[in-house]
Amino acid sequence: MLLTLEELNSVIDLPISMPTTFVHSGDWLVVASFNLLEGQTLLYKDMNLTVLKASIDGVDLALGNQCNQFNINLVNNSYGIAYIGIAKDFSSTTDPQSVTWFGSASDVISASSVGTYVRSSSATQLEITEPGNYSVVLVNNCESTTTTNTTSSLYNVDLSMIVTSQIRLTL
Amino acid sequence: MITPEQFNNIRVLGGCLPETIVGPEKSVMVSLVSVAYLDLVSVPWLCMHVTDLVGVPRNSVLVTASKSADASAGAPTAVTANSPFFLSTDVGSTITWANGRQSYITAYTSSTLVTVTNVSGLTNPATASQSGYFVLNPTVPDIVNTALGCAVCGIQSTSPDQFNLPGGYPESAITSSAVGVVTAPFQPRLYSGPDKIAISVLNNTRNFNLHVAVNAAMRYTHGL
Repeated sequence: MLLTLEELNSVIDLPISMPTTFVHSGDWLVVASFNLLEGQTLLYKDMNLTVLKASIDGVDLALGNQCNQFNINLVNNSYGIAYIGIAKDFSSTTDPQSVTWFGSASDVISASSVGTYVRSSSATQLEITEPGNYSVVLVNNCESTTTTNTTSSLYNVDLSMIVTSQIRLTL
Repeated sequence: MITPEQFNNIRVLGGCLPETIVGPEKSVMVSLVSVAYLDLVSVPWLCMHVTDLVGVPRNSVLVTASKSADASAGAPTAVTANSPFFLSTDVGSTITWANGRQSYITAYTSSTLVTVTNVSGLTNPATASQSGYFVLNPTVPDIVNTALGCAVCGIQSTSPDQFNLPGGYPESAITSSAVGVVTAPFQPRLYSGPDKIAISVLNNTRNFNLHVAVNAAMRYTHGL
């Protein structure tokens, strides 16, 4: 199969790269956004989410340690302490709780503790052709003690995280 | 057809700025390349997501004073005009006025009208009640370059460090004054070396923090 210059120009590999970033308990962050027009295709296959450090009210858990020994309330029990997914027409003021994540369960990468979590290499490549605004959103899924009636045993969990991914756009 | 040699001479350099707060009149460079003599650069993809124009804290609106309680004879201390302040969009959150009195929000009737109940002291002169409406005056952006929107993202050549100076806006730009995603509609233009090509995002206001995420791709072709 031969490659034409036209074909080459219509394919763009875009990085999704978030350096070490501190995300507070219960907060979320737009890591990248893409506006997909009619006739364009977005291909998503790889995603790496690394939780470098969890700060649990003064206790810093380094890589390799576990968070679940602490009493942590998760905002969404379907996921771990943090997760990242692709949302269509995401508004940053919208609570991610009400967001429908694009694709299947394997397309949302969830971290259960400190460590690195990757999208399974055996998972089917996600192909999006529906026009719209797509955002890659990183969520700290730990409940914030300032937004809920809590007992003294509930901890805020602030997370230092890194995201590395890539999408392919076919224009 | 493209030869392996041509293929090897083309690189896609990506730029990714995760959601970042850019202060008033400040800019952030997303990507910068130095283009050598005989080399070419184009920007086939540029996408900006303005996630918030108000700034911290999230889920809040920036408002100026509300008035309905000011002239109340029943109020022991006149409520003076407030400086612009953040008003939480959470029902039940509290407003503390300049005289120390407090009200809490019971409902948002519209984007400029909020129903409050006063905790103590203040009486709505229209209703003689401790509950009432407060009219909000949302603060509007104070735009630096009125030809552009609140957020500007674009390509600039030669002197990226001059981005902040008056008239130094990018020559190919996307701009927005609303929260949302904007994609570059422009045709890929070739920039030839020697040059410096930057993709920057600028907060074009004097009074708002800009929350923005940017994704860009630059296609760099080595001269043969």
